[in-house]
Amino acid sequence: MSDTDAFIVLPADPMRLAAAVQMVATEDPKRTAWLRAGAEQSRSAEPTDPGAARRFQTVLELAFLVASADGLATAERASLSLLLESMIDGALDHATLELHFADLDSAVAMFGRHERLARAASDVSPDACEDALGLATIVALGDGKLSRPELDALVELGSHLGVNEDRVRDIARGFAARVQERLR
Amino acid sequence: MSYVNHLAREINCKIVYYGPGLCGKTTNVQHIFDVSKPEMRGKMISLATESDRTLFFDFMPLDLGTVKGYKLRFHLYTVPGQVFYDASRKLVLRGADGIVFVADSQADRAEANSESLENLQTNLAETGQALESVPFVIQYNKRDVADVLSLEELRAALNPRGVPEFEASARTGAGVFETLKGLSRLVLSRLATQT
Repeated sequence: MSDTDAFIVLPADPMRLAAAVQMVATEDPKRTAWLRAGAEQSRSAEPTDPGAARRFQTVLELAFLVASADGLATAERASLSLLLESMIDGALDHATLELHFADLDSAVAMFGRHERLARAASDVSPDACEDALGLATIVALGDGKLSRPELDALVELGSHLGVNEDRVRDIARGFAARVQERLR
Repeated sequence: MSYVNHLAREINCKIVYYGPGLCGKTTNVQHIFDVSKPEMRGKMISLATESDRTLFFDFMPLDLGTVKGYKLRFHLYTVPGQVFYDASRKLVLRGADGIVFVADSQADRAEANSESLENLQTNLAETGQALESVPFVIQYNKRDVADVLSLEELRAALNPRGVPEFEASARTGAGVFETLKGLSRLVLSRLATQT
């Protein structure tokens, strides 16, 4: 798919872009804190707060499903992993995230993308819907664009979360604008 | 096929309820959902596909314990009602770890049962699997209604291989868990040989 077909394109040098997306992804300390806590809980064989682990894994899966809606090349997978590592302050290492992506690929192959999206969305609490959509958007923007399949996946996710298409587009545009600000 | 979620330390297995229209597939899945502890299961999801609908939920059957420290999560799937497109049946079979064939015991559904069983074999073959290689049980549902075939008649028509079979009345819940447990044993046994 060419960039001209994408819903959002952020033209920039890949290094600068990665830095800008990372800054936006980590600018909310509250979000970074709960993501990190969830990642740490996920690392433990016996989590003391299974709810935090589950919440983290849910948003991680949703973000992966959206970001991989147009396919995920090896390089994109690596940058996705780097972005997530920065968002959780290294609470999970590269190898663990890569293994998890492979597991999520298997889940899609077995159950279907639409089914996984609906299933993971059902675990999002009503007060966290926009946050989940925002995180998925940031992660999808990691490669500098939000492609049509990624936008469709976001809209589909929004429909499961009770967030209408216009609002989903606004959320996506809002995050893209923040990344662009960081690029200036 | 079962997939392992290493981060969640879970082994995920897909169980498909298959059978002719209105045989009680959804009633089986709904009963298991209703009886499962809310904290051990996900929500029941009804997802519209292009032509039909897929109904599914997942739960953790505590009585099955763990496999090498990994918890088991069963995902129960069916295509409810009368399925109009074979594509929906094929899709739901994708990656199945175990299949429950729900037969309607009523005499006037004998042909529908046989057709559905044949359709299952055909659709599985198209996904590269043979029914003989997948954990498989048969449930004779609606044993509590009038004009049902005898067990011998049902067995002769549907179960020449002698796979585990169960009588049930999904409407009342009778035999529903026995069927699932029967299949679980087969799925676990296969998992044990794979891990």
